[in-house]
Amino acid sequence: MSRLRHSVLFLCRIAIAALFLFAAWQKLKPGGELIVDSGPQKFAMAIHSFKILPEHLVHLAAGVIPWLEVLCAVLVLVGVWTRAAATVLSLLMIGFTAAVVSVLLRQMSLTCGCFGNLTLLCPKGVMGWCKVGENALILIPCVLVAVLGGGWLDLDRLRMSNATRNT
Amino acid sequence: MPLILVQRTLAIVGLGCVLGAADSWLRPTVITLKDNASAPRSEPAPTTPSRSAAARGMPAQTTTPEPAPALSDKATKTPDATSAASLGLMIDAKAAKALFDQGVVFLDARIQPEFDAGHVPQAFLLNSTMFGTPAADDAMKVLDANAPVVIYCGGGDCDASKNVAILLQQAGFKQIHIIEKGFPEWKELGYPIETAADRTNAGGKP
Repeated sequence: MSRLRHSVLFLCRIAIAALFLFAAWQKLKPGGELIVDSGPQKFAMAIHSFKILPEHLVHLAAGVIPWLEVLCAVLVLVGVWTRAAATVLSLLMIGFTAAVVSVLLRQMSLTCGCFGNLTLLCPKGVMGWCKVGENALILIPCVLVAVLGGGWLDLDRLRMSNATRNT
Repeated sequence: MPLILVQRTLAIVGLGCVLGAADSWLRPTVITLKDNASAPRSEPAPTTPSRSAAARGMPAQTTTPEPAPALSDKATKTPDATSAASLGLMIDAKAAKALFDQGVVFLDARIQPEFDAGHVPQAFLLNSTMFGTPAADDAMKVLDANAPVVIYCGGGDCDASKNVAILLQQAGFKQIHIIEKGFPEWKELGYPIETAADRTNAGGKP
């Protein structure tokens, strides 16, 4: 049972890290010669179009969220501060989902700006309730790791068991 | 243990803020929600095909794909590549008129009734709710992603143009311009307007 649990948690970590590193890259990639193709600009415009945050907070969110995603994805992947990093990612996902629900309740037709051209489960284009389900699905492994820890090759766990053995 | 978790969570958030601030500081482009968005510091000089090439076979303002509009002589002129490329994302109606005179494709991001009541001549209706429909898919196939496009909506708080711009960016469009104050400014300046009735009278085609 423990082996299964550790395996599942390990796979969750790999999936979370891959997903959030990809999402972060979409939000950070430079635009080259394109007018609005830089990641931060597109992400800022996407946040702004949600009409939830004032402009100065849009700038802050567009600057900080991608780097939070990178940082947490790396920490989750290597297994350092795993639960804390997964907690931050869970909070981010809850925030994203709340924003999507808010947009849908206000009957706004918006795109997500989450994963660039990649579509996970929902069709490309305007967001619908499918996006809420998709976010909930991503939230599950984040919460699992936040609550249960990192499973195999989790440096936090290995360090803790070494410390216990030494005492 | 929970206290350590909270401390680590806050530390991660703090470090994320520091990284975000450093990235914003070092990045050569500036995020802006209003004017000349993210224009690189060095201006590119891409080629800009004409509206005739860009719009050939473009579906019209209805959701049913239709053949291309018959373009006027004016519309077949080759756009001035330099002037189109040197403009930022957000432009005013005067700059838009200059692009219109050069034959650049115009996209109307408003809803059908507003479009029918009056729009920029030869503009195509393409709002974000149409993306994913066969009409929009066909439009994306025939529009030239390397050609400049001008998008407009109702101005003011209207974000429809930005939404369409994002979708076009995802589809690979490279030169997108948005009329910041939208169709009201175009109308206010007395620039040419076409209604659905005008198009019908002209032969039933967009």
